[in-house]
Amino acid sequence: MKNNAFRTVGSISLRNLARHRVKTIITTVAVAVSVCLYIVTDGWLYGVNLDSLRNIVSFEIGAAKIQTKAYFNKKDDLPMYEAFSSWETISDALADAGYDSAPRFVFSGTLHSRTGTAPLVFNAVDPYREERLLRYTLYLESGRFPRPGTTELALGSMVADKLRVGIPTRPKKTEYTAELLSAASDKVEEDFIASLYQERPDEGRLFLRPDATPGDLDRLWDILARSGRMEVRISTVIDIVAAPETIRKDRFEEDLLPSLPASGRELVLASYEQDPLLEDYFLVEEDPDVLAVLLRIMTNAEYPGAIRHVNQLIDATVVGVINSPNPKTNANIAFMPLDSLQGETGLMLEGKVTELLIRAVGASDAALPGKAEQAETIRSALGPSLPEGMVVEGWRSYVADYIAASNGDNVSTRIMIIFLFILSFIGIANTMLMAVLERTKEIGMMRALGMTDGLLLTTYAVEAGFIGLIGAAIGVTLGCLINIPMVNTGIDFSAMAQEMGGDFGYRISTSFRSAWNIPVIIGTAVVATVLSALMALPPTLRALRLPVTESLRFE
Amino acid sequence: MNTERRNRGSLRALATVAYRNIWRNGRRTALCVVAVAVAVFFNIFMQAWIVGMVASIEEVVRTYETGHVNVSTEEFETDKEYYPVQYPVAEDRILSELLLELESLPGVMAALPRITAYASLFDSTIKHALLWGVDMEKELKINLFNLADRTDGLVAGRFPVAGSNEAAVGTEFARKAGIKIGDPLPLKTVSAQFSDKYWNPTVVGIFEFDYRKFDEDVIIVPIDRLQRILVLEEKTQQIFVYVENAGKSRELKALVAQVVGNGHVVREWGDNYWVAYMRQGNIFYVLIFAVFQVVASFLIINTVLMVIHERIKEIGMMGALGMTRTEIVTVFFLEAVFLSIFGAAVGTVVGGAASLIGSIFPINLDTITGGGMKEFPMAGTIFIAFSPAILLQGFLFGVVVSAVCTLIPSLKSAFIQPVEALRR
Amino acid sequence: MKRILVIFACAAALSGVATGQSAPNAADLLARVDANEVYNTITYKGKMIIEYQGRRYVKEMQAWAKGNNDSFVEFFNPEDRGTKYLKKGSRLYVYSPDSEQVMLISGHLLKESMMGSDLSYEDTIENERLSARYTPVLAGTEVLGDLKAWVLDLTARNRTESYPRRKLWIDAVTGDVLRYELYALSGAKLKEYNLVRAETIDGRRFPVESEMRDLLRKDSRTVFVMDQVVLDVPIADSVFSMRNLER
Repeated sequence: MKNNAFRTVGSISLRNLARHRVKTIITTVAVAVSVCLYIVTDGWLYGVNLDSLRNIVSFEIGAAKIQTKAYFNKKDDLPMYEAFSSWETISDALADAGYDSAPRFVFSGTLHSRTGTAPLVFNAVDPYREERLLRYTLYLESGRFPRPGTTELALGSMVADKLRVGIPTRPKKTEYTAELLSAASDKVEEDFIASLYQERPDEGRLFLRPDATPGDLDRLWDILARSGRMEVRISTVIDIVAAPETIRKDRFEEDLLPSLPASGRELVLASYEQDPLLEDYFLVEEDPDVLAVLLRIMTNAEYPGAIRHVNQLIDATVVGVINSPNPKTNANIAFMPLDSLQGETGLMLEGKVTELLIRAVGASDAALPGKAEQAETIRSALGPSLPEGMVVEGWRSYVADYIAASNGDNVSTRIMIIFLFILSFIGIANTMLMAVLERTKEIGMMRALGMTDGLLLTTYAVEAGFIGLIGAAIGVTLGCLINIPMVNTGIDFSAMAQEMGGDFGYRISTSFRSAWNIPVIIGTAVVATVLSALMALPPTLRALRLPVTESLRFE
Repeated sequence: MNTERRNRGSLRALATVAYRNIWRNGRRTALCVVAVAVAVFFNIFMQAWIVGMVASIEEVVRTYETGHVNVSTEEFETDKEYYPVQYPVAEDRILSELLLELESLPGVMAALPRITAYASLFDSTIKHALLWGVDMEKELKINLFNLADRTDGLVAGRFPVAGSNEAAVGTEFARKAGIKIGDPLPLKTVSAQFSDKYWNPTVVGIFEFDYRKFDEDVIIVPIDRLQRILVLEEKTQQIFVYVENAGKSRELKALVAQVVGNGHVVREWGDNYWVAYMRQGNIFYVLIFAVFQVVASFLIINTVLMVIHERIKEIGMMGALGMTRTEIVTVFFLEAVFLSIFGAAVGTVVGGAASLIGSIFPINLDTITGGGMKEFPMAGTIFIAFSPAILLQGFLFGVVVSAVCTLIPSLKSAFIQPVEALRR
Repeated sequence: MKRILVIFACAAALSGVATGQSAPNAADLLARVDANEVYNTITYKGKMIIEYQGRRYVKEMQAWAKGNNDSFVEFFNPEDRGTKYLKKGSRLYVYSPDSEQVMLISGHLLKESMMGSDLSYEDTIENERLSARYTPVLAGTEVLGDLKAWVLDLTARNRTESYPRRKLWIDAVTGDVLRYELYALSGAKLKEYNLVRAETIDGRRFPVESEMRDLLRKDSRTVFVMDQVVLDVPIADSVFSMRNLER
């Protein structure tokens, strides 16, 4: 019986749909367009937001990092003395658990080029592992990525520009003549260089032709390198922990002394002398053996040691300039092979690294790290292989500021999405309301023919729901079809920006790619269907409240 | 002559028919009006939001980064990121005279000297900060530093008095460093001769400008005192020229350049990276806006289509009564135009009201962002723009889109055979 | 070594170090450089001429020093008038008229350039003996200008040394340190000192004019000139006191 009623309702609804063909088409189209546009726009905005996060993951950090706890706590100061050794063991354990890892030694220093100096953050990396884990290595504006075993550098495009290394994309006229043309050894080379640059009126600058081939760039690079343009020096200090030279009075008396065993206290008191003026304590012991013991005592008591600075100057050659969609990799940053820094010509690393970047093997660049790549999961996968004093931290812990900032950017996006939703909602509701309202007369007729109110309500709701469902199906299909190229290639914003006359020389963000926001796609379809069905209810109810005779007369 | 009168009369008659039609079916009218109104409302509100955001950035840039017209030296410009102090503006001239000359230019309200320098802090969790040497008395006559409340931004205490050993710090700075009014702020900075200068001003005020960079990094000090410490001897690093009409900055730029002479970099605020970026980054918003327009237009089209569809019978009747095709089209078209005007008017009023409210009561972004936007010159609070131009534009959008959209189905309606239509 | 260059130290000449023309023992040579306490006190008027970025800055000072540990310097060129430094052992205090307060220069500040010169604070306050920290090797002789000099190669004993390698040129006749160079761990040269003019004061050799270059600063050099040098006149302890600094 009940089954029968349903069948009746279903068939009436379907027949009604066919009967009012034009109306069905209009409403279906309304729903389809709303659903489609909403899906596309949402996917796009979602993708744009996601892109900045994906950029962090795939260009900067990976899914997580392993560092010493002490390093993590002071990570903003880049405390190179909190490095750790035998990362290979951890890396092997990670590989067994299905994770790629890449070691890094991060330090700050000053880079001197022929024309200038700039403070920089240097990332000493394992080029092969880095290439497997992160994507910035693919975004070399010119040149190539450093090779292992060399003191070669890849620089961010902004700092390369400032220090006048690499191939300039927008040189001033003076720079062009003095540094580019003059690097040519003969007329042929000079003509070749001139052929790669074009002048724009009134700007006082030349611009590298966007159609210059990689082959051209390599040749230009070689010509410029011959002139010594790519030779740089890294000036830095190696921080080494040693017994502190000075200890503040209160720290000495209240923190250090009470935390030491009696024998240690004696040694510390003998090694330090109180300053008569400031009352602070100063190291007077000079014997290196005693100092080593002293440092051990202090370390055991968890007293942070002071840091000594050893000057270091490293000659290096710039071999590539990075300009990736993540502005961080284009700023004051340099990448160089880790292995060349091991000995005394480097940073005396002796196998130490400051961090190990982690990403699951075969992780998709298009998605953010999932459950398998959470710090917690990695930690438990490592188990006892993770040495004492080491921490695994997810990528979000490193970019809290950035995430907060990009959330700010998202406010307007989020508001737009809400607006768009309301707009689509009203679109569907409006059309549906209208479609049902004008059929008040029909409702009267059906009632006169003896159909129950409940059945009528259901019939109309199902009919409207059908329209919603068909519309949503079409909308979802269309939206997804549009989404495919949007996800894969996106809208290249940089070209458009150039078209409009702006050229900052830096990739602000290459292209706005969409992303699959599956919950929203499904959600939109469901909401559209349900909404359509519900929208049939108010006018139907209204018609049901009218006396049959009245509704038959309804216009 | 004769035909003309007939046509005119006919048009009025048709308009009357169309107008009556509107009121014949209240529900339908209401739905149509709502559709257009919603579309227009969103059009207006979105624009007001975008314009407000851009305005906020421009305001920050004008107040803090460049003034309306900015004067510095070429050498300063090269190393700008380090805020070098050894390249003062107009070294061979007396600053006060130069400022007077600049202020005598047409439309100039003030020429304010400002010096920014890096400072290393002692005994502080914060290691570096920016010293901002300004003539607070003159500044406050021109600038409202707090961008949200349009006030001087003081939260506690007062601004440092000219010549005094005083400083004011931002709320974020004070919070991070644990500084209260009356605390000393020992610091080191480097003079124009590269000498290390140690200074220990007393904090007399705490400000909140609602501009993250300043609230977090800046120590405001009297410019005359800073000049003395940096051994700049009455010279300044930059001059910020403020004019009565910000739009006239470009013309003034040339005049200022003439006054200060060679070796200087003169910019107007529109040259600022972020302003240029926003003007251009607007493409992003334009795209979103376009999607909105499409969805909104579709809402209108759909509604109108629906209205016409259900009245095909009516069309047949009108045809049967001897109305020409043109007349039928005209009636439907006019009806749609009336509806759109109503709808657009409603949307404009609501949108106008919303943006007016938003322009008086700003939206605090910090609560949403957690205050992470340091690099971006934007106030923590946004005022939505209220502008008649936007309202007018939104109104016209509503009317034109719906009118154009109606034209097609109305035209189609006219080609249905009356007999056919009557049978529907 | 730093004693010659550094304004905070009781600068000294190396008289009587060189003993004739026969090759001396490297350790002895260095020990003598270290032990060159030929006087107890010194006062002088000094001038630091800094040439940097195409500009020239002159900083004048009056200095008092006693032994190797205590020194007091007061600047009196108009731009820096009243800035005073007090060095006690390896601690460096500064008084600035703008701050009206004594501060201890420590931590990251020590790595920065001192008064814009080619010296860092860290360079100016080291006072441990070179012979305790470096192993010397006599690398032979060289002729500098027209002076014959012994060349000493110093390698740091401890790997925490700021400059892991140094090189000294010592006048074979007068014993003056004619030149020295400071090296980074990689062996790259960081700083270079050259004696410009030495004078005999009270019968002793004294480097009254010298030049320092920080090779990482482009076109930069600092010339240090000493004037009115007075040796071995007793200086009251009160000069090297906090009170004097705050005076």
